[in-house]
Amino acid sequence: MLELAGVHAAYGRVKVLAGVDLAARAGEIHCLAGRNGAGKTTTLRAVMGLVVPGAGRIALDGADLTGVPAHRIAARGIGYVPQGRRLFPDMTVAENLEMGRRAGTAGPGIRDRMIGLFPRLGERLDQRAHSLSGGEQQMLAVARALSLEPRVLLLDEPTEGLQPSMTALIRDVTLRMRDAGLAVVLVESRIDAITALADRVTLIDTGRTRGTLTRADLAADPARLRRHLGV
Amino acid sequence: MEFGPHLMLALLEGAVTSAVLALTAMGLSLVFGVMRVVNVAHGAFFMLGAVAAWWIAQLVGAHPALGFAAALLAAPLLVGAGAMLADRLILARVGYDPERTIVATIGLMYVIEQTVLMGFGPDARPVAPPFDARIALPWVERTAEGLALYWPWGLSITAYKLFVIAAAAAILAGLWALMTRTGAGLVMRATQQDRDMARAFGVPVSRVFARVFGLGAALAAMGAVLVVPIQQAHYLMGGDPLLLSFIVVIIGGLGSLPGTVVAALLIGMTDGIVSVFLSPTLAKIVATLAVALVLVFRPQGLMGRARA
Repeated sequence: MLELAGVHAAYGRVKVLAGVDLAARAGEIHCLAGRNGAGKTTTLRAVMGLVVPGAGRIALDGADLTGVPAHRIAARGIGYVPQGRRLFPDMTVAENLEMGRRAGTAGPGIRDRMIGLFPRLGERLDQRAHSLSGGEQQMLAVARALSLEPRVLLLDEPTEGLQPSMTALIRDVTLRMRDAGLAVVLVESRIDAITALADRVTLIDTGRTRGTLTRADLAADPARLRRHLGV
Repeated sequence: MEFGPHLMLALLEGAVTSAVLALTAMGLSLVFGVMRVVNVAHGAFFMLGAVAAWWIAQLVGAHPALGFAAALLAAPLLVGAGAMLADRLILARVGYDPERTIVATIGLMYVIEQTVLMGFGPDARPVAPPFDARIALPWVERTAEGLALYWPWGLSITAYKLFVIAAAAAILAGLWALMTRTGAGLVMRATQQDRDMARAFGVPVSRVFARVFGLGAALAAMGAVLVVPIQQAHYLMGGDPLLLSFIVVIIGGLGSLPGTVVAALLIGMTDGIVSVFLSPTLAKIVATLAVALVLVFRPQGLMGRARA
């Protein structure tokens, strides 16, 4: 589904990615695991066209996405939940969801489906995003991305800083999206989140991927992930 | 004239100034808010609107109302299209870099002014108001029988000035509806609030920038078309609107559209009152002092949000 091969990227002269390979399939949660500064967020930004790769190839179902303008990526079927949520803070919940819907091909009914997933958003439709609690903001960030009816969902540390009940809700929705056939790319640095959700894990360090592990690999050598994450 | 009627006259003059200023400053605020571009050429777009109004009115001839109506429709479109072209040819090419766009728009301002000087000449050109009526205004006086209405000598306003107030209010209401009730407004607000996320959700940001720059210039041009039957078109007339627009936008809060309207009312009314009772120069001093006070005590402006 989503494939990255030898992706390099830099911010100005600072090289951040120096060879990222990743292949996320439909119906799986594919974790990108690494320490802080390893290049996880930049990898997702490169997929979204927000960082232009200096080399390598990004493809969705075989169609090249490298060099496609950022504003055309979402319409190809990629939903993005960035680190720190990055909602449109002065827009209402309904307007944030509408921004997601407009980016894809879903009809107006998608809003009710999102409210079905996150009923609390239905009670806050006219409330501005910046006035929501952290958990509600994360629900909205996920719902906004799902509103475009993506085939691939990119989640960047979606449960960071959330209380346990919210974490459980976001994880539950992530699993439901996987079961619905989406390819979920989950950026994580926490072992509990990775072991709870991941079908496969690609390890990344200093901008380079260091192999991909299956659930069986993780079960056989749990210390490998710990060593990689430095915990 | 007694104080009361005199004050009413000053407030009406202030309302006219506020109306034109609100339109002009709104364009500047919109461009800064969405694009983070300090458009020094905004006054030149205002002037271009006035000159275009004169040219269109001449072209149409016939009844002044017909020429004015044509100018009110066509001049903002022409100026907006020119601004969109400038966005593509200049601002996009310097990557909307905040510093480089300041220098680029200073250059653009001189290019527009000198082009108009060469093509239009240095003379001020009048545009006939669409209607000439003058409306006498009543005031109340206390008589032996109680309060009674009377018409003080000199307490009157042209119907055209009332039209300017109404037209500006209608245009601002239209802009508010555009920003809050339409998909185009949603996309502009998304771009203003988070450019990268707007891109990630399918917004062609560079196209939005071109439209916003065009809309900002068109708003300045609308203000100019409304004012040109009162002030006359001249190639250097953009200086004052530019300065006052910056004052309004800073007091209101950079990028805050409601703040811009409130600040335009404050500055326009103060200008009307101080100019009528004291002197126009003092009115400018008061406005500049207000900016200094805002910058010291509330740098984010009256309705702007403090940045972390």
